[in-house]
Amino acid sequence: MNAIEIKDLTKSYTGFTLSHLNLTLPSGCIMGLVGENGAGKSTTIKLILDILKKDNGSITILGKDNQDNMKCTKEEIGVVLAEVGFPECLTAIQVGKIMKSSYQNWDEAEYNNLLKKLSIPENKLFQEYSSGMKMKLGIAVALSHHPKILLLDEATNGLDPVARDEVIDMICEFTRDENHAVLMSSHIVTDLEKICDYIAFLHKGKLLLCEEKDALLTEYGILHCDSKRIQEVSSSAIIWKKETPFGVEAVVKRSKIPVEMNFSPVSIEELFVSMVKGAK
Amino acid sequence: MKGLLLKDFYMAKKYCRMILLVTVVFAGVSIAEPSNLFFQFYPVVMASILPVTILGYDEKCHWDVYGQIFPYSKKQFVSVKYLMALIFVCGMWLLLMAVQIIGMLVNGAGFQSNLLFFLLLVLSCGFLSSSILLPVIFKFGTEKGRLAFMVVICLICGGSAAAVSVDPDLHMPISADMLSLLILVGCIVLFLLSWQASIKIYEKREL
Repeated sequence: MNAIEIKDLTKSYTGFTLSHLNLTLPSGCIMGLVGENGAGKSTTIKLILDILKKDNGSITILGKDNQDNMKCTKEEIGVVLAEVGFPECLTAIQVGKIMKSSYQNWDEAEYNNLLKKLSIPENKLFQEYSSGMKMKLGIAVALSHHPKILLLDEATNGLDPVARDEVIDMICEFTRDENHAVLMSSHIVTDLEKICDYIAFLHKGKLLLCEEKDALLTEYGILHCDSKRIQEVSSSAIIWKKETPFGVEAVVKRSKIPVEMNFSPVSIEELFVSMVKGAK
Repeated sequence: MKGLLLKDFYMAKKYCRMILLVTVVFAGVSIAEPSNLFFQFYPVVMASILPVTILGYDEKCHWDVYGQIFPYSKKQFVSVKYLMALIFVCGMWLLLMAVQIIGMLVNGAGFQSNLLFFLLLVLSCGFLSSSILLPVIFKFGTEKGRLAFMVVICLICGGSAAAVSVDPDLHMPISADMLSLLILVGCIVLFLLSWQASIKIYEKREL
């Protein structure tokens, strides 16, 4: 079963339109949502959760339409938004008690374990937490009710490298169960590259691509050549190119390039940046 | 909804401590000044706006959006505030009633004939202010809702002045106690209608 299926999703605000988005996240997989600020990543996650009302299209979560008893479906979803908004006067212990009364599957032992693992102070007020600490508490809450899907919106932002690594390990551990799935957006594309099975690029509310990460890395490459040689390459193969007095650097589709040309591997970040620049 | 209720109680304990203290002091002062209605109406009205204060803090920390990730419906987010209003208003009213009875015993005065009239009117004020304020806050947020707060205060002050100025010799088809009971029933109906209206408003509101 697919964890999330988005079909033809459209949402318009003044000055922004998320346009005909189609995405499928299979169970057992991690999908990274990459995009600049205002590309529509958070809007997509809020639409999945029905926090925002869609204009058109459909969203199915674990086979159920998100307009159909979303309250029950949320029991199966762990969420961390870019801004963790617990009331400032609460402590982690109080948050745990509130969540125990909120989720049917709340696992107090798991929550306490995560507080210790992530070094979250139990009796400190939320207002006294650093931004990284707030994010860690959000992650602990999201994982303590045994969800099947994790939705993470910039969840690794604000974390120090060690904590980020710990969180990434926890996400990998989570998807060892083939019934689990993760949809995560992040500006830190290297994090996504490390753990994602699928990558989706969003740009100005439009999906530029959504493919398996390994297929992307195989399909695209960076070509270094001189300005004469680049003329031999079909324009449809070139995603984006930069010409300097020393030569040409181009991100290209490898299948459309003469075999004798040499490539270097492209990173997901380089591919995304070139696609965005190419789209402008 | 238990989780939301618990959250609001934690917040009330932290943020509304001073308001609760003031209301308790006012209730106490009303023993010494039984003729001054302000000390009787104010604590209940303040208790009725405690959920609005909590809503303000919810907005400040972005709980209004973040809370939507948890397994609650928008109907529950609204209902918990009305439930809190009901608990605070009735709790404060019971306290006020106890204070008035103690006051009568302390002052050596017998049962005042107009006590029931005033107590029912005070309870009506508590329901009235929540009924007006909460839908406005759910529609426009706490910042813009301040105007509604001013309207409520004017209504309460005007209503209290009108109640005091009623000529006791005025012949009315019903007794003053019955009148205050009818007003209370009207305010409870308004409270229920306001609750339903707030649910509809909040379900349509895009956060």
